[in-house]
Amino acid sequence: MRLWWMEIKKCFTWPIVGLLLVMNVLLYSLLAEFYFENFPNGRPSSERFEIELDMVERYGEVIDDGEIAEVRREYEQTVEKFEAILRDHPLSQTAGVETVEQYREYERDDEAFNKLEQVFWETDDFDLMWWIQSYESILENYQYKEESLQSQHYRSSLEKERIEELLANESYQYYSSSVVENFMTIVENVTIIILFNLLILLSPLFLRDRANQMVPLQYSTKHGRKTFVTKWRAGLMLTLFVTTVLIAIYGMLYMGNGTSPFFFMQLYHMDYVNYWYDITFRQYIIFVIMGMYLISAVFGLLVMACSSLSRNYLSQMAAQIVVIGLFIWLVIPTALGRLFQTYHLPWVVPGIYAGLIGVTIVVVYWLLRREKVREIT
Amino acid sequence: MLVIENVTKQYGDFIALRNISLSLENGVYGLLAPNGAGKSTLIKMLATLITPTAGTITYNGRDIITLGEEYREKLGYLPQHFGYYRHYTPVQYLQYLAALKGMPKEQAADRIDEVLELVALSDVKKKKMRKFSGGMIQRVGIAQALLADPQILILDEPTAGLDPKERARFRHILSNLARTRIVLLSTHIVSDVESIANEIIMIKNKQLLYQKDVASICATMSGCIFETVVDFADVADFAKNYIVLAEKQEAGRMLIRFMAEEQKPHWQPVQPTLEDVFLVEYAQESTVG
Amino acid sequence: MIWVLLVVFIGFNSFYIWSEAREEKELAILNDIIANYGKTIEEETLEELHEEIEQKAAVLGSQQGAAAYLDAMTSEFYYKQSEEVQWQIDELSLYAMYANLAGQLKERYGKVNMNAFGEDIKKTYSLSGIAASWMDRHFAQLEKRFEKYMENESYNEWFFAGNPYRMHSFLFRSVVKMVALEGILLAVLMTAYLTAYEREQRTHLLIFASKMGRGIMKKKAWAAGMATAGAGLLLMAGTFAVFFSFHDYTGLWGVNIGSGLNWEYQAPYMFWWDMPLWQYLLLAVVIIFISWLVITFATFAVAVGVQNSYIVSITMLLVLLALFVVPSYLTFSPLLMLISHFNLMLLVLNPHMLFNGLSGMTGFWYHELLTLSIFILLAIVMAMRSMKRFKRKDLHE
Repeated sequence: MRLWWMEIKKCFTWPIVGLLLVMNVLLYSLLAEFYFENFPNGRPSSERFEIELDMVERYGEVIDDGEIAEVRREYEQTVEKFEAILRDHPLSQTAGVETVEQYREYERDDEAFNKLEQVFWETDDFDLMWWIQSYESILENYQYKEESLQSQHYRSSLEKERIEELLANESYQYYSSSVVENFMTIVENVTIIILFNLLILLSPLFLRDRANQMVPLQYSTKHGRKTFVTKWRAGLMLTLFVTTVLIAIYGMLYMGNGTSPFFFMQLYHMDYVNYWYDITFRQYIIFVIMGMYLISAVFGLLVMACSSLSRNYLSQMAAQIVVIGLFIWLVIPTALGRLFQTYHLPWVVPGIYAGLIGVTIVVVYWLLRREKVREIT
Repeated sequence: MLVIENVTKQYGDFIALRNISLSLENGVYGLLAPNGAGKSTLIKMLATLITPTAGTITYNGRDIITLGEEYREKLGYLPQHFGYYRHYTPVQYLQYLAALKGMPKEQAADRIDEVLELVALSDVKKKKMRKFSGGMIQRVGIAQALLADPQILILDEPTAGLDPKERARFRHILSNLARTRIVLLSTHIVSDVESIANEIIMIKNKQLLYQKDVASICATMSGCIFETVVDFADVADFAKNYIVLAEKQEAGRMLIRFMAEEQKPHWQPVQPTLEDVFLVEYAQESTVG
Repeated sequence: MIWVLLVVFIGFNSFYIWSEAREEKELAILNDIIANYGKTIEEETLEELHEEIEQKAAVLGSQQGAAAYLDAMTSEFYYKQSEEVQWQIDELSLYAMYANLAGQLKERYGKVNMNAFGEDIKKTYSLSGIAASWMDRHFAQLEKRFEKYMENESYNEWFFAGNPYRMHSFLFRSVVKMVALEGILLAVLMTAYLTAYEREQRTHLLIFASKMGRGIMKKKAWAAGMATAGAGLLLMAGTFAVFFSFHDYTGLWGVNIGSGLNWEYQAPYMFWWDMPLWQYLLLAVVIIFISWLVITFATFAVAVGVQNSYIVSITMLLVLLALFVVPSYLTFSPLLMLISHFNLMLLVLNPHMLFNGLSGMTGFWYHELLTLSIFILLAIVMAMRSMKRFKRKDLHE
């Protein structure tokens, strides 16, 4: 226990801690900041999100014809309000624009209209147009709720069955996908950030002592070759620690996006992508977090494996570049980004996890066995 | 008792040690051999860092690899080149090694003060090792070997970088310890072991040459070591015919100590020393190497 | 291990190029056009091209001419034809597309309003004061360049259609940028390793006390430079070999990179002078090589001081990342933001925007030259300073 703690402490040298801090600031601004500060991303997404928040509160996850009629009335009120402004405005009178329809269809080259648009753009009046657009997309979405499921082409017969099941159960999408999309982007990017942290922290785990000729000393003590196992345990603990801390920090930041009213909702009500199972957003979040832990554990163990095999930092870094490249371009987008999605057959993503875990176990087992009898020269 | 029986170490076709048998009881053993003779290989096997290709090493009758922890717990080892953390103080470094050696924390703290006192590093025990001299680092290494009060102490070139005063002090520490312990000291500095070693182990051509006390080893050369005085001009010729062990200028001529099978006139027979034996035995190797 | 990384990089680039490769047969059409009608688009040759198109349509059995034939084309009809006929139809439509695009260039460029771009930039970055007047001056200069460009009708040269092929972006923005990044990784790793080698192998006391002594660092700097250049050369050669074996550029080397057909997105490319494709490629390669060397010497400077290859390589990569990120955080001061755009990383990571007047804050005349000069100077000063300090540094065990 004491040794284990000492090995952990050895990983946090001052230069490493400094580099980790700088790196996290940079990666935050490069990979994460945007998705926290710009959610919902732009207009009319922000208006639509506000309307939907309101709808969730009033109608819950399933919307029926009566409820959508209510939304329609709100939409009509907004349209009326805008048209009233149009009617009263001297500029729109000269341009001859009275209805939303006309406002939209007007020729771009018409000078009187351009003037009107300019003035509107700079006042709050134009905001109503965003609201109108948002309402329209919600209404349209409701209207074509069946078609949007049907019109997809199927990647497999299983997917077809699943979609038919969704249709039979009337599991329609009522809410926009922006919440889930935003969540998944953040998840993927935060996982990348976690991996970079692990890379910097764990690369020296074995290499530091080997390059430093500490191994003969360590292996001839009472604890002896168990030092190797102790280091693996320390590394795994660090992996869990880093992953937990970063997930906690980014989780808190994510709560600032204000999507919690959607947590209880079935995924199929809020994402146009189809999933194999009926799960709520909350359950999905839990599964995704489990996936993040698995991926970082596997990655951490691979970094450690490389560290125990590399002869110097050059080969360590070179190997790491390849490994992290594979994770960023292959593992994370599929194993995390398409978790449970009908994009792949249901066993593909679990298969990737099983493969990763299997390979890692084999490698670690091999290294542990090898170290027991390795000649320290 | 540490017993090495018919131990051979092979790396592919290369034989590093051939059929070595030794037995070590309490006392100081000086392991004398030139570089490349297989000294380090033997020591690494005793430290369980490498395993013999054939033969066994036992401690009190049991194989040291099987003993594992039980054996290493009693082992203090100073490698020829050993690592340390530049940003650690000697105390931090020794704390880490104490943990590896399985010493309880409190006991370790006292013991660390003791061993640092022993190697005269108490003043700098809270200073980072970054700016330590080679000799100071070497003393930290000796301190860690002594840390767990080992029954078997294996030191590979421990006096490297120590000044004469420190060397004397170190010899004293060792002969004290050796009364109740096995101390194996590898060196090529003959004077380090001559006075304190109970037995000298010499390895030649990957094989054991001697395991005897100093006097017996010296006796093997008795009657073969002479001194004589030669003109400077004749020195080179003389060296062609005999193994020259030492030269010294004396009154404009050269006093030569050398080895020969038979005495000749003007040659003064002298008492052989360990150094003489060492030089004679490894004469060819040094000319080759 | 560096060899493995180099091979992995080339392999990855090849895979990427292969997976994104444009249809070879389609691209070949432009080579045919250039072979038959010359690289410049002229009224007579365009006329001849139209005639050829009509002939091709006639061969396909069209009576109303090519345009009507293509208009009437349905997918049902198309898929009923034999593969050979399908290709003939494709060919016809591509010829027609090129002829069409070529015919519209004058009109399209006539509508371009340089100053509007300038106003846009000033608005998006909310520039004021010195930065704004700097930008005004830039656009006044660019306006002149544009006038000359229009006068010479420089847009009238054949190029792979910017839309849909986006070959300029593919080659420079994707492939060359990737190569540039990979080269940076190689340069930093190798230089850090080389420079800290003695310390890490614990031969430093021996080596630095020898006759050559600490002067060996100077040799290490050259060695690092050579290593970077060598690895970079292999990386480029390997990648380009794959790229140009997938995409036939034979007829295009002499074509003006600022050709009107090479208009990919909203804004056209408005390069500061008319240069053939080979020249642009060469300049991009040279700029990237210089940047690699600058990064090599900067890494060297840090490594001489720190002497730990791991810390050095990570520090350098983070510094380079910071260089890339920081400009977007300087919104509070337009002037600082302007200065921060004379930035090596922005140069390296935008090889498709080199010498382009319409590349936002990096479009200034001499931007490339100035940026490189600044960073070369910086790297040299850094390296000299750290060498000077190293000469007197205490060396311990």
